[in-house]
Amino acid sequence: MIELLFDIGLYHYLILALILFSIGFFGAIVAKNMLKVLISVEFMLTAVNINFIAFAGFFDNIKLSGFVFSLFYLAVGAVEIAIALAIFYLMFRTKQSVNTEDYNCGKE
Amino acid sequence: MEIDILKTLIFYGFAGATLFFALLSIFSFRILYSLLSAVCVFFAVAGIYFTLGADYNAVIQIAIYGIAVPILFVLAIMFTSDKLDKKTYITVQPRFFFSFFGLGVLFLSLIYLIIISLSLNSNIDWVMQKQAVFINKYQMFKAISDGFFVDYALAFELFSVLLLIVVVGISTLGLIKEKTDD
Repeated sequence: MIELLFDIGLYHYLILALILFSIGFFGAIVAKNMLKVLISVEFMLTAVNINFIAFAGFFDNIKLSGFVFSLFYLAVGAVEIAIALAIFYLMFRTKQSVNTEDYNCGKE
Repeated sequence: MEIDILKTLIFYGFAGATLFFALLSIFSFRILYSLLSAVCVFFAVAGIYFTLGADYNAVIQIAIYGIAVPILFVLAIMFTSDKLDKKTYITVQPRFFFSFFGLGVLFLSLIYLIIISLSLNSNIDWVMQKQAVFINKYQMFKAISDGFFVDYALAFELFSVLLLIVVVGISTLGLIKEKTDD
């Protein structure tokens, strides 16, 4: 049991990614500040990246496809942030608020 | 079985920093502190990549998530910072509790799945497997360049198209903004 805890293997990385994904998901739901929601989404993306790299590092020592996909994913994450911030700024101009609860147009 | 104490300590250090700063980022009161904590998370995750032998990914992670993305966020904070900090903490509506319990169930079920996969698999070598071959730098760069320009060349080209779409899209959003201003 002690070996399982201290001998770092694949499952350590999987559990770390799982916890980070959970934190990101929780933050994306409960945060009221739109920027904080975006940061939480980035945590989720980062957790998925850890999985990509962990699986590639442990199982795919030759082609390292996980490393390549992780780079694609990093770039997609950056693009997503750029677009999301642009849309966020446009929305902010309409209501002058960063609070997500001010944008619940569906209830009206 | 021989345990590599140094590797264990490094892993737990980076993992602890990642989770601590992630929680701090979610629960910190001011958005700027939240952003600083997020930067710490991204740096710590880059350390995790280093422990896995993915040095190039770690450097890119630091360059993009550790430096470039926070600059965008700081600009957004500068544009939008106002007196709303107190009102925009975390919500205490029912969705808070639903998400908390929902995530708890998700978390426990995934942990259960991992444990079941341990017990079902008679050959648990894949769990205890070490990074048998330490990835050398030449091999890593060769694999990444092969991936970009040979194996996943189509995805690479599609991604360049995506970048073009993003640039055009952001310019279009800017035009829309100017029209509304008039």
